[in-house]
Amino acid sequence: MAKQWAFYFDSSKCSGCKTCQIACKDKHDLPVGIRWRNVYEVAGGDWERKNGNWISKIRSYHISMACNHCKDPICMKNCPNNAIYKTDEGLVLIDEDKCMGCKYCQWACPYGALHLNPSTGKMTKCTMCADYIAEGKQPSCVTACPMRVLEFGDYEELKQKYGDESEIYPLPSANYTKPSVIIKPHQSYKKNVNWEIINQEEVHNE
Amino acid sequence: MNSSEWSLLFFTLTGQFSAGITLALFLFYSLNKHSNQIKSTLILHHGLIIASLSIIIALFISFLHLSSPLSSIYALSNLKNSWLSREIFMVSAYAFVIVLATLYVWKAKNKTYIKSLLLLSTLLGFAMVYSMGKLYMIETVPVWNTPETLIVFYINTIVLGLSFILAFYSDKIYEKVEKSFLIIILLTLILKLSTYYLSWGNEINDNIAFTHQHIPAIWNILWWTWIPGFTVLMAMILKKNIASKVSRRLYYFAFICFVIAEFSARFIFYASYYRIGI
Repeated sequence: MAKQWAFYFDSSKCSGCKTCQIACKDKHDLPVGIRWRNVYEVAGGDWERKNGNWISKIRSYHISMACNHCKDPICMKNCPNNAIYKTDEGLVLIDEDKCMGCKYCQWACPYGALHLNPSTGKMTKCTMCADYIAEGKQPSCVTACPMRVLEFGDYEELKQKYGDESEIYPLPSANYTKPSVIIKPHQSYKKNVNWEIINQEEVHNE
Repeated sequence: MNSSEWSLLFFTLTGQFSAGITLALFLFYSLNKHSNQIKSTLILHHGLIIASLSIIIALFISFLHLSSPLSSIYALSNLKNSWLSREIFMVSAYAFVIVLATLYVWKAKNKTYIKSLLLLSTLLGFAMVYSMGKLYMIETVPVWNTPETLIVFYINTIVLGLSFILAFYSDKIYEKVEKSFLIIILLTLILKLSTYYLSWGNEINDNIAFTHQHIPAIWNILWWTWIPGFTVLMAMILKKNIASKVSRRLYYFAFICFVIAEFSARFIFYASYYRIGI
């Protein structure tokens, strides 16, 4: 089986400090407004009345998310210019010379991974720090995380170690693109709770 | 709606308007066998010029939403998978044939092949509208990924194209053609109303972090402006002996109603975008 680099993210230990976000911005010298990695603050639940007392059942957790270098990338399928390609190691990258900035990939990606750089007119996205990988190093977000909740490795190895969960809120079903990401949910995570992203103004910039 | 989508709105509307005029010309040419030759030639000349200009303007507008238009030379690289690639191909093919037909009508003395050229242009126009619709039917964008997208694009094509010819050339076309155009437009508008009330089974059982933007109520009100146009056309089909000056004014009115309605419908279409996931 061909190699497929992947991320593992442990939501149960993430403090939401956003160091990964900053490390990524710093490493790639991204302009203001563009973040290849975002930390989503998710909250849900309600107050419940018990024996005349109101008890908080509000829960929250964080999700750190960048491009998941999907096995079946919808951005690549839709790109008219063939500007998005997949390397032998499974990285999904953009050939900037070919990109015409139509943003069709951005419409389609269910992980919000693609961003237009207005100064170059080209789409940009997480490269998984391909230059670091070539040098045998880890991506900058992984090494910067003070809580060690991000891990990087071969998808099959990570899957054997941690399972294959990748569908917790707000992420879509894995069926669309087969993302190369594994997530350990926060202990308070349950399906069918009224979860919502509470830092929408910060992370939703399209 | 994002600012770059305004150019897409104008591009799709203008492109579909062009395809609609081509359809109207083909129908006119096929049905209009007994009318005045001079008048027929005039409609054909004018109609083809407007259809050609519209698609050329649409092509120009389509470049405005690109951040790096010079890289569009690679835009046909992914015909195998990308509907956007296919759309660009179809728009180019349609534009080429309609401009060719226009030149042919103006230059050729013997117009033997005009019907074949009109048929080819109409078919390419319909294929272009199909590719325009399919490119929005993205698996992860549930609000667009329904047959309604294709249907509303074809409705826009038919209504704008045929009502334009009625508005500007009703006094030059044979009554049978006029009635046929009226019936086609009215049936299309009935389909428009049906699609509004139909459920397309796009219930989403997946996580959606961000819903669509707020759409100001004025756009929903403007969407209904096709109703006065529909009423006028109904009156035209039922009433007899309307003075040509009056009927032309009524057709103008109906066309303007349809333009406003289709413009607002397209605005709502783009503004209602949201996707699965984040």
